[in-house]
Order: sequence, then C-alpha cells, then structure tokens
Amino acid sequence: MSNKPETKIQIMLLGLDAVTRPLLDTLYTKEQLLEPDYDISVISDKSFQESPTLILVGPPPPKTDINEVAQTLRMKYPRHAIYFMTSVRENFDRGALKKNGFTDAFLIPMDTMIATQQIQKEVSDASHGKIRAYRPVCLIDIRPDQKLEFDTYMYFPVNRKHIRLSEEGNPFEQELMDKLKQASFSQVHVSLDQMPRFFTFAAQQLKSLQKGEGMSETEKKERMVEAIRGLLSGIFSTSTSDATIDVGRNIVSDCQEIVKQFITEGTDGNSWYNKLLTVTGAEEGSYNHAGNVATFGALFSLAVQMGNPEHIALAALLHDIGLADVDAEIQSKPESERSRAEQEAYQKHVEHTLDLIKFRKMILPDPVVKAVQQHHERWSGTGYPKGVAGDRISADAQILALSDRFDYLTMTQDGRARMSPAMAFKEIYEENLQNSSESQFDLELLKKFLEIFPEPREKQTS
Amino acid sequence: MFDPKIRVLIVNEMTTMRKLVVDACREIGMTDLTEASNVAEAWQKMGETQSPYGVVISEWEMTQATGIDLLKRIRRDSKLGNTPFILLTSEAGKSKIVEAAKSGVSAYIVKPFTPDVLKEKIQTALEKPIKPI
Repeated sequence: MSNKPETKIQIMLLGLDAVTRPLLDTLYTKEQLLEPDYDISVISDKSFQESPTLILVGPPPPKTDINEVAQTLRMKYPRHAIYFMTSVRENFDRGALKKNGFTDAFLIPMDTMIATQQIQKEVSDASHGKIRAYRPVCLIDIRPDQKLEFDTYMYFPVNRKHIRLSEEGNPFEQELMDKLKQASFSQVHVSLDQMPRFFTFAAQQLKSLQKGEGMSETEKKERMVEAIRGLLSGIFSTSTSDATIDVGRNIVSDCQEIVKQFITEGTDGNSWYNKLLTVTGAEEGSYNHAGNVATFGALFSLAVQMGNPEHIALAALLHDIGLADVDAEIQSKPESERSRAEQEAYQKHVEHTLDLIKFRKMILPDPVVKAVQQHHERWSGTGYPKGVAGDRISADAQILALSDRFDYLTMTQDGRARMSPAMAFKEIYEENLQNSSESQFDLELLKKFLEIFPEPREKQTS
Repeated sequence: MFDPKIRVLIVNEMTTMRKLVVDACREIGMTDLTEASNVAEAWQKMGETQSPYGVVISEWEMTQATGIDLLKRIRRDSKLGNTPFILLTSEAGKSKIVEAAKSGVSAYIVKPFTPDVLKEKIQTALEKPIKPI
C-alpha cells in the first residue's frame, strides 16, 4: 500500500505496547499517526476534539480498567472503529472487550495478520479506495479466458510490491494461468475495493458450474480463518467461569466441526493433491498457519497412508496455542538469535498448550494430545520437550511436524522468496540428510514425499 | 417534558463513565445532580437526604454490588420504593432485559447512548407506573 495518501488519514494510538507499536510504523508515516496521552478523562472531555480515521488502543495505564476505556471511547466516538491490541494474554477476553465497546480485540503476534488487514481495510474505506489494500484470492476461483470485472495482482514478498497481472475488463489469460500453476502459485491478489466484484464473479462461476449452493475457495478459506480465530480466542480467554466441562466439550466439538467442514470433507486418497495445491503459498498469520498445518497434515496423512487425518488436523489446530503465553519478543526472534534462557522459554510453549487444553477442560482423543506434545520432537532424539526418538514419536506427531515445517517453507512471507512444494521437500530432505545427528524426520518418510513431489522443472523467481 | 430541576442520583464506579452521564444530564438541562461511586454510597445518600431523588440512573455492571442489587433494594423499601430507576448496560440480550423488567426497572439504556436517548428514557421512567416486586 502507498505511504503517500491523497486523503488525510489519522490513526489515533493510545498506549500501544512495545510489540504492537512498531507494526504501525511499517504501515504509516508519522504524520498519519496521532498519539495523545493515554488519559481517558482528558479524551472524554468536550475540549478534546480530535476526529481520527480509526483508534487503536493498548493495555490501560495503571489503575484504569480496560472496560472503562472501551465504554468511554465508545461514548465519545460512537461510530468509529476502535480496536484493542495487546501482546499480553492476561485478562484478554475478546467477547467482554467487544461487549464493552471495542470493535474487535487482537492478541499480538497471534492476530498480527488479521489486525493488519483490518486496519488497512478501515484506511482503504476511509480514503474511498485511494489508499489501496489487497486481499488474497484463490487462483482456483478464477477461470481463465473469462472477462473479469476486477484487476488481479501478484504479490512479490521480496520487495513487498503488488504487480498487476490482469486488468479490469479483460480476461485472465490461459497462458498466464498455466505459468502460475506450474510455479505452484495458489493465489493472486485483488484490491479491497474490488473484492465485492470478485465475489460476484465467483458466485456466477459456481452457478454456471451448477454448484449454486457451493462456496468459492476464497470464501471458504476466509471463513475457516475466522472460525479458527473465534475458536482460539475462546480458548485464550482467561475467565475461569468459562473453564467448565461443558464449555470444554463445546470447544472440542467446534474443533471437530472446523476439521470436518473445511479440511477433511470431500478429500480422499484421490483428491488430496488438488486440495493441497489450493492451500500452498498462503500468507503468514497464525490462523492461516493453524488452518494450513491442519490441512497439510490431513492431506499428507492420506498421501502416505500414515497416522489419522482427523487426529492430525485436530492436533494441528491446537498445536501452537501455548505460544500465547510466550513473550512476543522471544517469538519474533529467529531461533539462532535467542539466548539459552529465551529458547527455553520458547520451548515451554508445548507445556503451555497442554496446560491450556487442561484448563479449558477439553477432552481430546489420546493420539491428539500425544501429537501436540511431540510435535517438536526429532527423529534423532534431539527435540523437545522429552527428547524421544524414532518410532517412539507417534505417526501423527511426525506428520504434524512435517506439515508445520512445510507450511513455514511454502508460505508467502515478506522479504523472502516462497518455495514450491517440491522445493520445500527437497530442502527438508537435504537439511535432514546433511545433519543426520540432529535430523528432524525419518529419511525414509521424506523419500516418499520426494517421489510424490518430483524436482521442479524450472527455478521459481518470485 | 419533565421538570429539569428534579433531583438525579448517578451511580457508576467508573469515574469517566459517571462524568459522561453527568455531562449528558447537563446537556439536556438537568441541574440537580448527585454522584455515587458504588451501590453502598448510593444507598446511603438516598437514605440520608430530606428531599428524595426524582430519578436514579445506575450502571448495571459493578464489582461489589450491581445496579440490579440496588434496584431490588429500593423497590423493597417502603419509603424509596417508588423512585424511578434507569439501568445502564453494555448488554442488549433478551434475558438481561427480562431480568431488569422483573426487578422493577423503569427504563433501560444500552451504551453507548446520546443525550437525546437519555432524555427520552428519563421521560419514559417518570411516566411508567412502578409495580411492586
């Protein structure tokens, strides 16, 4: 998106924490950010007359109740978008925060992607589309050689630029489509203001294919991300009144519903490969990650007939929830830059996940819990938390770990070229072959994937 | 239109929210305003005054005792039982409204609200006959 807007945009920031604040600097200029003192008695006063585009609020100052902040701001700005953003899970209760007046509440870094998209959407709306924001759409929803009423773009993560692929009023050419598919691209971008046109187009396509009641892959994916977010923020809520057997049972059944509805339904030993191609290359973001790892896990399990697809998908949805209790700064550092103490704190996320599952009274099948517990164990026995090796790591956990690594390598991440599935498996195989004393996976298992995903014919350039 | 000189008791433990209710009351011309920061203080002020309050505007959600607790206490009292009572809340759920109605509330305001809404609700509260609970 452009940093030089034609419309005046002002985002009011109130006490964003050290993890959240830098996000805004990457998106907007100093002039676009308004930072008054975080004193709600001053802000609520009639003499305070700022009228920002949107308001982002961090943890309250001492002796101030966040609900009072929410209610006061909502009274002062009844129609504004007001978002709460924090990196601290303590007292984070999304439902209560929304009830008291926030438009939504984001837990960073878990919600970074979704929060960024939401902020960009507000700014794009306020500028009537002059400040552009984009959304990924599934390539499978765009049929070649048909006139499109919207522009499509390709996002280049290395230089963070959107380059136009096709222009409004023109078709998406078959040749271009073939090239993208060959390079394992599963999505293109559409500007936010043109998304309604994309959805109209996708609906017409489904109708013409006589899938009138169906849903486009793009919409399905958006719904999955929202469903996972709703599910996980329920788990993160620290309210003890929610920690009952009934609530725990509901969470587990919601997890199973997500797995069924978005992941395993309609996928079998024959169709898993096509499904995989619709998912690879998605943008980073925790809910995307949870959804992707669940999808890859179930598909890999079907592909090599190892483990239980439902159990793996369920474990994948939950495998990283414990990260919400790990300091955000530690999470953002690459492993090589973490001190020993920081790495130990990071590794505790497995334990935190299991504690959260217990606290929420979620009764899960034993293999699911085991997969969560073992997803950082390594074939060589050098993993954590227990250092178990070889076949003592459950098949579900091995597939889950492989999906986790695969998603990391194939996702679209700023500043890095993305990999195709074949390149990713080659990379994983080589890193395990070269460093056998610390290998993460069974080489025999990896060989099966190399057969399924043979060497790419040409090098990918994006 | 009601008499703007009626005595109003505003109960809210959140200081800025209480101030916003006071501001909204002033904006619609009301002048005799008393504040209480919790239910105990409100009850005390209601008991010790010679001239009774014409309307109570209380927050529902408070930590020690809630607005509903105060409402029930007032409705059971032989002297204060007929005081018009407005509840402020963030929740518009049906079960909440039913609970408030059963407890004898005169009017119900869902936040955020404007001075005009407040004026309308005070009018409703003053006109509504009080049913004993």
